[in-house]
Order: sequence, then C-alpha cells, then structure tokens
Amino acid sequence: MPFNVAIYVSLFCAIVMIVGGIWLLAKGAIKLSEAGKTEGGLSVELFNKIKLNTGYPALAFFIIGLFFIALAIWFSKPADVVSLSIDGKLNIEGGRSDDLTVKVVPNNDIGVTLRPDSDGDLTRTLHPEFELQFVINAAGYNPDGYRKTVTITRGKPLRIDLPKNLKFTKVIAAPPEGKIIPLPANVTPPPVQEAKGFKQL
Amino acid sequence: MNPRLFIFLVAMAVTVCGSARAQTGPPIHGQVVSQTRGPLSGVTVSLVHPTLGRNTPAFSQANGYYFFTNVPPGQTYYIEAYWGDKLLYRGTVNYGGGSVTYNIPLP
Repeated sequence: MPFNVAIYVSLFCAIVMIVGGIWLLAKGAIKLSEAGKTEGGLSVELFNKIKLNTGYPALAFFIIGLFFIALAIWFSKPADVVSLSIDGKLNIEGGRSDDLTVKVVPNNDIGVTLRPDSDGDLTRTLHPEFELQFVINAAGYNPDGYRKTVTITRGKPLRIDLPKNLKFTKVIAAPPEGKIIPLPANVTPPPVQEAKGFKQL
Repeated sequence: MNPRLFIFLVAMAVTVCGSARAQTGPPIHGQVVSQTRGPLSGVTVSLVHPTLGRNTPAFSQANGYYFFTNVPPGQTYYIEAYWGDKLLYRGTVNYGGGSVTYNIPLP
C-alpha cells in the first residue's frame, strides 16, 4: 500500500470514529449519562499491547479517532532536509593550505528514473542516496586535482580517507596577470571561493 | 514518393542529426594558456553575470582545459581566471547557445 494512502486511510478512520460517535450520541444508541457503569463499557485492545477500558463508551470513539489523527499527522510530517557536515584537515608541505580548494559537486550520472502511470499521474516518495564528488584543487601544484566520489546515505556518518601517497608538489609560481577589464560599478559578485552558482532566471 | 528521393531525404536526415549530435559539448569551454609557460593547470575559472551572480567555478586540468555546464544562453558573461584568490584575467564572452570555445590568454 503506498505510504500516502495509509495516511489518508488513518485520517478517514479518525473522521468516521468521531462523526460516528456524534451520530450514535444523537441517535441515543450511547449516552454520556452511562458514564461509570461497568456493563455497557467499551474495551479496545490495540496491537496486543495497549488495552483501553472505558466506562465512557461515547468518549472512547473520540479518543480512538484522535489517536488515528495523531498517527496520520506523525507519519505525514515532512522529512528533515538532508544536510552534510564536512570536518577535516588539509595541509600542503612547504605551501599554504589556503592554496587548496575543495569543490563538492553532485554526481549527475546517478539518479532515480520515475515513470507516470497511464493517466500521467506521478506519485513517489524518495528516500535518496546520492553521490557527491569531492575535487581537491591546488593552483600551481601537481597533481592538478584529486577527485573522490562518495555515496551519501542519510543519517550515516562518512569518513573520506585520502590516499597516503597523495602529495601536492609546488611546480610553478603564480603566472603574471593578463588583461583585466573592469566590472561595472553596480556589479559586485561574491568572491570566487564563495560562489554558489547562478541564480534562477 | 520516388524511392531515390526517399533514400536521399533519409540520408540527409541522418547527416543533419549526426551533425547536431556532434555539436553537443560543454556550453563554454576552452584552455588557459600562458604565452611563456604553456597550458596552466589548477587555474580557477568563473563566470560572472550582472544579475545572475557568479557560477560555480571550474578548474583547469593538466592540459589547461576547463569547461562549464549549465550556462543559461542568450547572455553576456564576464569570464575570470584566478590563481588561488588572485585575479589574473577578466574578459567577456557572449553565449547564445550551443558550445562556445573561449581560450584564456595569459602572458
């Protein structure tokens, strides 16, 4: 059964229980005045663990209905946004560590292919595992970059070990400046190290 | 339809499709080349647009080659090359669509 359908069924059950309770009260099939009587009380057992005995049969419908509503709300709450914390240490022997940059890009080669049904409806809840590519770059050092692709799974810490023989060696000093045309006064882009991509058009 | 004409049209269609497929490459790509040092690796190359901001930078590879993906067409961009955080070059590139080669010359 699709997950969303289970939530809708829970909500439907809750509404039926509450509206049914009101209807039974209105018809006189159950009465609030019968509170406290042992016979005619309601006994409900849930999942063989929770046993509910009540001498208030009218209220039992509302309590069970509220339980279903709470269940539906709990399971329909939005999932947390996946965040990724990176904590590490990178050094260059004989160089400045701020010569290094680490670029993290999603690996676009993997993904989930979704197909709508014959009516064109598309309903799917994804619990994605996705791949990220870490690119370590050092201007003027060899090798010119190191790439590592990792699979991120939600809730699982990930350790990225760099090869022990990975060594950045300085090869050339900074090249001289070439042509630099000025930017218009009203254009103030963020520093290149803080670029987060183009805004949406 | 004349069979010869039909074969000719099919051949033309295959050729045109093949040409169009061959032209699909990175939207903007090129090489960072120093006149004195040759191709430069590890150079950070970035596009700047007055309203779209700055894109995610690319890094030149061992042969100086760099490329960008996901560049909105029909815009003029400033293209910048950095050595670490030092600006080495800034020029302009008009990107109308397709695949554009832009080499970055340095002294």
